[in-house]
Amino acid sequence: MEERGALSEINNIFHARRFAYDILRRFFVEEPSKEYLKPFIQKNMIDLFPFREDSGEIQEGLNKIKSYLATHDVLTIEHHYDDLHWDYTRLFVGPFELTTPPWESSYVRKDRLLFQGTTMNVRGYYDKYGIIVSDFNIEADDHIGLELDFIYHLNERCIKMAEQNESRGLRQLLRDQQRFIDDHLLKFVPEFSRLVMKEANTSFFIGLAQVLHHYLLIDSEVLQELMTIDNL
Amino acid sequence: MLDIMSKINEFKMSRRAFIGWTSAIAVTTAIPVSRGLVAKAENNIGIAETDGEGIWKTAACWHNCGSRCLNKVLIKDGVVIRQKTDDTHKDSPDFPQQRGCLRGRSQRHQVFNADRLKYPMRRKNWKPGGGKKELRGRDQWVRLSWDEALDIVATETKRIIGKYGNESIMVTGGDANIRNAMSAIGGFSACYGSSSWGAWRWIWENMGIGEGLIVNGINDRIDLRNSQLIVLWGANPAWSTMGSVTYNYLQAKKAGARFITIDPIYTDSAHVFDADWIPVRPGTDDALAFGIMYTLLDEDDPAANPLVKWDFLDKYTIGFDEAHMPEGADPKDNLKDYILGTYDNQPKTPEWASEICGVEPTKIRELAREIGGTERVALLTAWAPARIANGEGWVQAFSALGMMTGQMGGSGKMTGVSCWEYAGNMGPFLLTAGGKGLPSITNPIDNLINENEMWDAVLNGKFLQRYEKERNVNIQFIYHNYENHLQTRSNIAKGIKAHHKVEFVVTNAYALTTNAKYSDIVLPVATQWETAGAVKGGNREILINWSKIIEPLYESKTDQEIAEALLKKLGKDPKEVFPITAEQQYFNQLAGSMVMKENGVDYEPLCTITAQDIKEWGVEGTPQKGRITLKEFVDTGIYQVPRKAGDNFGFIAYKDFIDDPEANPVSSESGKFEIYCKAINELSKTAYSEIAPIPKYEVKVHGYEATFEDWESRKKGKYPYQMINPHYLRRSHSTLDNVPQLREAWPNPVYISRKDADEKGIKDGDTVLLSNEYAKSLRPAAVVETIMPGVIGLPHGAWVDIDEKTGIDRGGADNLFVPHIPKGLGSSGFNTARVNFEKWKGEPLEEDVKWEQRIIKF
Repeated sequence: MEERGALSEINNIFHARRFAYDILRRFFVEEPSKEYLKPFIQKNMIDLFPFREDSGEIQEGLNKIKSYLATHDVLTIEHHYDDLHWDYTRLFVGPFELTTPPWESSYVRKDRLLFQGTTMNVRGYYDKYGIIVSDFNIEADDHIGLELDFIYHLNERCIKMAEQNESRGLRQLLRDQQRFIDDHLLKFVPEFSRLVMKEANTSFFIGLAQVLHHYLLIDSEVLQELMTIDNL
Repeated sequence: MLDIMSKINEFKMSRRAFIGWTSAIAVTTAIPVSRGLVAKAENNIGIAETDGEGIWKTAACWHNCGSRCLNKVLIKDGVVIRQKTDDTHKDSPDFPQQRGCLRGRSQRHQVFNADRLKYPMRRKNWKPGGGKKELRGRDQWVRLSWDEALDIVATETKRIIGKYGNESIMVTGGDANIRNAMSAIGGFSACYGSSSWGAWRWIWENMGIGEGLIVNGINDRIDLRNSQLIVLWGANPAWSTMGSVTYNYLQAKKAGARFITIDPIYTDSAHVFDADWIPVRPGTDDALAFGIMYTLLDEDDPAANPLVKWDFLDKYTIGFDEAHMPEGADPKDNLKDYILGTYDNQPKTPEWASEICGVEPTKIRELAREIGGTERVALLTAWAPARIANGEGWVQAFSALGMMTGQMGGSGKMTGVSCWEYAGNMGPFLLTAGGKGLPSITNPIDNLINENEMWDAVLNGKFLQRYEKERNVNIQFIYHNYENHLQTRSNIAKGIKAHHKVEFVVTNAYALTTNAKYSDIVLPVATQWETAGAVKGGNREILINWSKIIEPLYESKTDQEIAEALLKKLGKDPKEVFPITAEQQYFNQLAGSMVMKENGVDYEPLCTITAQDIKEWGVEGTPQKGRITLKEFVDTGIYQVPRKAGDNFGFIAYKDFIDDPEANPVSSESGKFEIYCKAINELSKTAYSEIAPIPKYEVKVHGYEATFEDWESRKKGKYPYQMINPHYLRRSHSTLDNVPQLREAWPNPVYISRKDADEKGIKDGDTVLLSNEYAKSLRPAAVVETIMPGVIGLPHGAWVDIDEKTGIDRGGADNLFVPHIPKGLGSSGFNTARVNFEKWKGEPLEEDVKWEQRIIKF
């Protein structure tokens, strides 16, 4: 009974992570869509972002996003939406020179080349879990949005296991996530976020970059701590 | 530092946050993300390894070894790095794991063996029409492209059909792919044989009993624990049925059953079950059965010593005595009078039997008292004693013994075949696989050549179309579609001659098997690890499904792909024969898989299948509700129904019939167990030799009597030893014999008794020369106390390896020595061969494991 209780309680953490990573992966993998912005704004999701109490930086980032949305009605005023959309495009897509490239390779490699060892290393993680990039070899695997999506996917597995009260293999799953965050995401996100905060036109993406960086720091700690729980 | 426990507690206390996240996610989940990570199609199956090294998938263990176990492989970076077996649940006697054996665990060594056929190849001196045909088996090889190879096969097929007709094509092997393709272009001459069944193959239905695979003749394993005496007559599960069977018998042992084994060999099973061993000469089990039955009649006293169950015989059988003969039969032709020798003046006394079977008369009487005097007996035989020429009488006699002692249709009482994965555990399948959904293609040619005659038919141009009459046939093209007939059917030497005669020989194979070695064209086949996947039944409690592990290696293609490509070359639309993809076939099997409900009567679909599943699989189908999700079944690779005493899955064979014989007749003409079976006698009149309607002792072709030059004076002949070919754990029939680590573990000696070896001055490990009128073969001797003197045990299935200079085989191929003389309904006489042996004076054999592997050089 003890174990059952613990696993279902830990599941609260997984649900928090699902919520956080879903927001982050969506806003970093593609241009913001009205379809998603609608519930995001109307359900006040920004106020539900977990671990904001544990990090002043996260709270600060959230406030920036909030103030942007308070002054820009992206759901009804077309050019407000266009501005936000353009901010993503110019930051992460182009066609002008990308001052904030969204790929890990651009930060960790001297040659800054994509589809080399760094991309393949990330691909190895995906492959291990039977996952593949939907635009295989069209988009590099180490895109920030995809790397966040990967953590989101593994967290989904954690939720499923917790729901089935299956702890076998859970520790490994947590360890792999932490390794991936430490060895990949956190290897470039500090610099990436710094650049985005510098280059973004909208306080939406400035705030988001700040949240991203500091949430990953917290989450790495969360994973570290979860692995110290005995019955896992 | 973050305090995770207090965080967890905080989340727990404040339900508001949790509700906020889940309700937001509930709304946003439906909103698509245009790019992201998706499940990898070929990797979307399996279970992640705990240490994160890769994905465990269930892999095919497809051989007909007589078992079915769970075989799992660990895949990392598309490569198989490790294997394991069933650990899907805790092991217990009622709910045992389906553990694999050394062969299954060596499967990685087979699939990735250096000797895989890698490319289509042709014999160097091949020419249209055959070229230098005598070089088959020792010619060099030339690599071909698939296009060239299929062109040759298609061109020769057309030429041979044009010149000799479709009858001139002989297709061997049970796989449907090439058979269907050949049927679609006009047909072929087919072969048939009794294979593993022996004489059980064609007579059981007429007798009203089961043969052990198609129809169940014994009780389930939980009920086996109620038997007080278990007689294993020619059954050695520890060697012939790996997996959980021996374990099941052990539960009966633990529950108090005594074991007796009747066998030329003191088997590992006898050892494990601490059985009393009754050594018996091969092919003489019928004589022993008659000796037992005589004793039962002789010592029976309905009041003081009731050994014969007269009520049972009267109510459920016909033909035992004069008073219970079917209409039209000669009343004198009953079993009782035959046993007593009333009309032939030869009572089948233990003394009479002992002369033939080698069991002491006192032992025979003892055995009779044990079987007749024990309340609940499991009289179990495997097929081996019937895998002889003239074996039908044994099947009849064994069955009659069970009927005479009433050991049928009750708890702990059973008489019948107990082998394969169904050994000691029969009853309706608790799980069944769905069909593939392929159309069946009728072969327009109805030639059916008995395997004992197949090489003679090639060489002499005629064969008996069983139950009809002799036919002429001109075989000019042998297509070995599957299996290894040149190796695994009787008389390999004559088979090689036949292969030297015909104009064209093609083999689909994944290693240079004996079939492939003697071919003109070899086409490399992908193994079952490289095909789409399949659902396979095992013992009645399990259903296994294996998925694709790797892409076809080298240039190999799947059997279906080869058949499709060939059809195309022959100008046929492959879609007519293969209208659906291999993936669809796998899916159909999964979707059609059924599991028995708790009530023990009805079935429900095993898998729940959603519209999303169907979309992801890219197949046609209808969503359905089942017991577990499709994903769970495919990821786990097995579903097993747990058993326990008193559940609704128990089974007592023939119980319906025993309870109400009128309402539930058995399959015979009379609806009763037919000790006198007119139908068998009628059938045999248009087959190979007449079979008496009742069990009668018959001298067997190359049986014990044939080891004497003069039986009356007991003067031994040229080939004074009887040879049997026990199934051997190095391989499954001939498959896996090329795997080095199995060769190392199981060196494949010839088993010789200490007595016989001493007489010939042969020591353990000496190389001996085995010989008879068909062949010569070398093997190292294993001199043992555990085989009956006069009997030589040459393990079944070793790959023949003939030295072209001396004509002597060094592989120890059993079927070199087995005669090919069909008798009765045409069963093969694998366990009745006769040989001589002597110490080999030439160079001693090197251990098999040190031999160079059979790899094509070109």
